[in-house]
Amino acid sequence: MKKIFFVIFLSLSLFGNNLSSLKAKIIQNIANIFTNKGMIKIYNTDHYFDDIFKNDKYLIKVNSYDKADLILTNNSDFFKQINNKYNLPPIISTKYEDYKKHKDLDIGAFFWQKGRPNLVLNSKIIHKRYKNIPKEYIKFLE
Amino acid sequence: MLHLKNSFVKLYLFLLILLIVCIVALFAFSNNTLTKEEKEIINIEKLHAQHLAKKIEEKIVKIAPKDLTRSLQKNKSLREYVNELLSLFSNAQYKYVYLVYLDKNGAFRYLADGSYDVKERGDWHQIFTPISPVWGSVIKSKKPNYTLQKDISNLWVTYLYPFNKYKNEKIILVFDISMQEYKTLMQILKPIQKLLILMSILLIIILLSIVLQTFIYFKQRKKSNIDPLTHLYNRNYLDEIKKHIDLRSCAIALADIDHFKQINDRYGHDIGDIVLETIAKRLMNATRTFDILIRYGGEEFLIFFTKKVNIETIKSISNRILTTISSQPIRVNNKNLNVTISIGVNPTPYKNKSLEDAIINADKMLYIAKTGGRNRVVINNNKISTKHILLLDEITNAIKQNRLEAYFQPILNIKSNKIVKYEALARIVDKNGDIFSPAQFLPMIKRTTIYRTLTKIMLVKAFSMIKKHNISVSVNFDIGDFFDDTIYEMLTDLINKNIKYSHFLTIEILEDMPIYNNAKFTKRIDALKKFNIQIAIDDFGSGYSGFNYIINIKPDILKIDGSIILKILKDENAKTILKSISEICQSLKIKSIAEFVENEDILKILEEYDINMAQGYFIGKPFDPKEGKTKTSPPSIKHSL
Repeated sequence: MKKIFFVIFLSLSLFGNNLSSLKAKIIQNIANIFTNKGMIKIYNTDHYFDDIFKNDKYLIKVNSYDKADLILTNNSDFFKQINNKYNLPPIISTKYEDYKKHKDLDIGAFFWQKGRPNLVLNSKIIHKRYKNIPKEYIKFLE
Repeated sequence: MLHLKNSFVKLYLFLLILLIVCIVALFAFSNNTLTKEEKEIINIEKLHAQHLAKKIEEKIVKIAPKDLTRSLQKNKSLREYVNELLSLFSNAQYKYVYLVYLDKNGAFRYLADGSYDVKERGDWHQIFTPISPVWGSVIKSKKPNYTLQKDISNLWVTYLYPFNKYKNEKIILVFDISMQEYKTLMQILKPIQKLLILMSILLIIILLSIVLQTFIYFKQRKKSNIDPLTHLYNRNYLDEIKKHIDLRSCAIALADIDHFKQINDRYGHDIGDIVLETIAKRLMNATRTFDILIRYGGEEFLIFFTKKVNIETIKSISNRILTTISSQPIRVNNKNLNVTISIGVNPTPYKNKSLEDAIINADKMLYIAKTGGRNRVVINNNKISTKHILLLDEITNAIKQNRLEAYFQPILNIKSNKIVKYEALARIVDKNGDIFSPAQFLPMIKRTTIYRTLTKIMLVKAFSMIKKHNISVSVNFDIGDFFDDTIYEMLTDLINKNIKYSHFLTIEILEDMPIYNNAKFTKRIDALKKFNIQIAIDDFGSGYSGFNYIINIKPDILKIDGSIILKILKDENAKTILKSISEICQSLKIKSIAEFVENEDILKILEEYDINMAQGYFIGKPFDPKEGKTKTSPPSIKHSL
């Protein structure tokens, strides 16, 4: 937690004007909770996060969610498409409202509220799919 | 030179540093001022938020005195009430107003949210992610604090107020203050900032202009303090250092080029200038870098020995100057000029009342060096009496105050036993009534304007005597006077004005130097003779005198040098010389005058050798005509006055 706070704080301080870098850094940190891969493949439907690929060489955009290590979405219809599918990569909603609606599928939410980046992790799914997560992320569980 | 240069460089560097410091300080000031203003505004915002937070805390404590987290968890309507309460304080300025608490896992979670923008409200128990360590510190310290949020879009300051009344809970009331507020304030401050920047630029321009002006001033001042010919300091610089020079730690020397007038007369001013330049360079080489050299007058140089001013050092440097200057001739136009210098040193200027007096003392030593044979150093060792030397200023003042007198010494016609002539002799009476003879002041003023003034006064007084008593009066001139156009013109002018009496005037020419431009000299002598004035050669038989002079000048009178006359009672050779001169005079029909006739025995010999006239204390001492005729003449001598 301290680490992520530190990263965020440092990013804000040092790259205060580079929101894109900040977003990429946080996404990378979130992805690292669930995967050890150096290069992280991301399927993204939220255009707000399109710029993260330009600023981080370790984040790779993929067009098919099947090939992704992490899914970022703000599209409610997306959940209909994947409703019956299993073994999907972790899904992170970029809208808190969507997360609340799809707690059975979403592993968490990463969204902007009150001008701040917010991270929420879904304890039910995480406990089901991942036995352990790093201690510093326990604070984000709900 | 070095002294001025150093002080100039130091001052200029100081000004440049000052300018840089001012630029930095002004920019820092303009930025700091803004930050200060901002801090002031934040403080006001803090006070306002604190006031509101207290009110909100009081209200909430009233409805839920204990265990607020649990109360809100259980009671939905209470949550709605609190949300509503918070929303009352949320507006465009306080964009987000909400309550968070720290749970057991160390995560902040929403308790209530009354934010102005409903979409931005957090749900009850929703995780809240703060991005500043201030949140944790507020929980720990239980004291309100704030954090700047400029990096978060639309937010400026976040004010955090801990609800300390809930002792077992870690609850914070948060006010996120809008960036709009900051922008509005900045818009107010921007003109002030612009004004400050403009003022800064203006001040920098003024400072730059001051630096430039100072640079120009010092350049001009340096120029005005430097003699363009020798590149040494001039007298302006002396005025400058006068105020702060420490006479206790310096010695003063006055150096004067020997026979410089003759160099100028003989070779012209251009070569004279080259000599001055060369001497200045040699002086620089012979002195130390910290000694100060000033071109004090035409061929006079003032030297301030500023360190190690003991007698031995001064003596050593002064002798080095003499050697440096005289050791090799100055080569000009394929000619070698052997130039020497005389130096007078005042090693203890602090003993004088002022710098001027200290220089006068050095000048007196210089005078002694000059009269002592030149090319030498005279250091005042307190054993040398300077009482009987008059300096330029004293002479100038005496002339201005009419203390220059013409005394007249009678000249006897030996055969008729009558006073037939008087020699006009200059005397200066000082403020104490002491009388100074020409030997005590003439060398000091030779070839100066004062000398010309003195010559004119003496001529005027001589004519006045002539007109009053219809008696012949002789006035002394030296060879150099006939090369001085001003003196020559003044002489002819006065003769023309008194043309009726010109035959009473005798010009005694002192043979004190060789004649370089013979043609000019003889031409002027011939011209004077046309006015019917008489020409006499003074001090014949001494100095540069020779028979050649008799041929060139064709004098009416020969005045035999006193040194020969004084010896005629005891020295047969002197008698023989006297006899020879007398015979030459008779052959050439030149009248003869013997000087230094101090007793009757001398007079008798003169009579025996057919010397025409006699002059000396036995005949009569010089007297002031205002006081009447000399009282020392023997009663047998007939005076004309």
